[in-house]
Amino acid sequence: MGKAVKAWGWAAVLAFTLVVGACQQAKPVVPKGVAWNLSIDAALADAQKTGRPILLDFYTDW
Amino acid sequence: MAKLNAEVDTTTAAKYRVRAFPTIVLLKPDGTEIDRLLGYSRAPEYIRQVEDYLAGRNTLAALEAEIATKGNDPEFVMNLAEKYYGHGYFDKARTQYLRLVELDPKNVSGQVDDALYTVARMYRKDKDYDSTRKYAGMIIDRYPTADMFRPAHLEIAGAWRRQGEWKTARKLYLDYVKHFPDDEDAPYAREQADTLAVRIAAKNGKGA
Repeated sequence: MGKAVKAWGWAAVLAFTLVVGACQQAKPVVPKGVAWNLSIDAALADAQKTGRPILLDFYTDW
Repeated sequence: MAKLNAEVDTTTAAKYRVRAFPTIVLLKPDGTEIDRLLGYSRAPEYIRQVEDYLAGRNTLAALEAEIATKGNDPEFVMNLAEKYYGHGYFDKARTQYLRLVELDPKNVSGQVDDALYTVARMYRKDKDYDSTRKYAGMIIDRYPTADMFRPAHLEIAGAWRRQGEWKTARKLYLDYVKHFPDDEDAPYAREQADTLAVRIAAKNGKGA
């Protein structure tokens, strides 16, 4: 439980960083949480549109 | 970004050779892998690693490009071996671990025993118990002061146990307790010996 919560926390921190990094030259954006894709195909489709890399998080519910 | 339950989307997990959790794989927009992060790390370290990878530093591809110039440096070879291992390229990992053993016979790097131990465990996963014992035995013969000296004994006992050679395994576990009574793994060895004693007795009872 503790580890899973930590992982979510860090994923959120990382997502925040990536979003901020991407928006550095645009107007400041307040992130509203992470819009995770739940399939690789959806992520690839997004990435091809935006040209940005994909962060693929393999997790389990153990 | 995508979050995948590796137990549900087993096809994608297998495609990226994911064996440990969590595994974070960074991909180029075309889907080819940049590199990966295994397990947990603190946020600053995690972010630094992602930034390194996105800048093309310390990736598998970057290391492979350096083989020609650094291929004889034990530290580099160990990094490369671990990188291959983390990516699930076990044959390539094994080759590099054994290359380190050749390059640093006196274990100046202090990593040769780790390399041999990992090779022994890889063979155990392949159920090649003779090879497990061979490489764990090399640690015992060559590096009696190394960190992996004691775990190598347990690895050898475990190989006999998995092979069904319970009496041999039990004797080795008991030897371990005798030689290293204060070791943190001594209770584990004792427990294994006791479990095997029960199994051996049950087997003999059945046969009678």
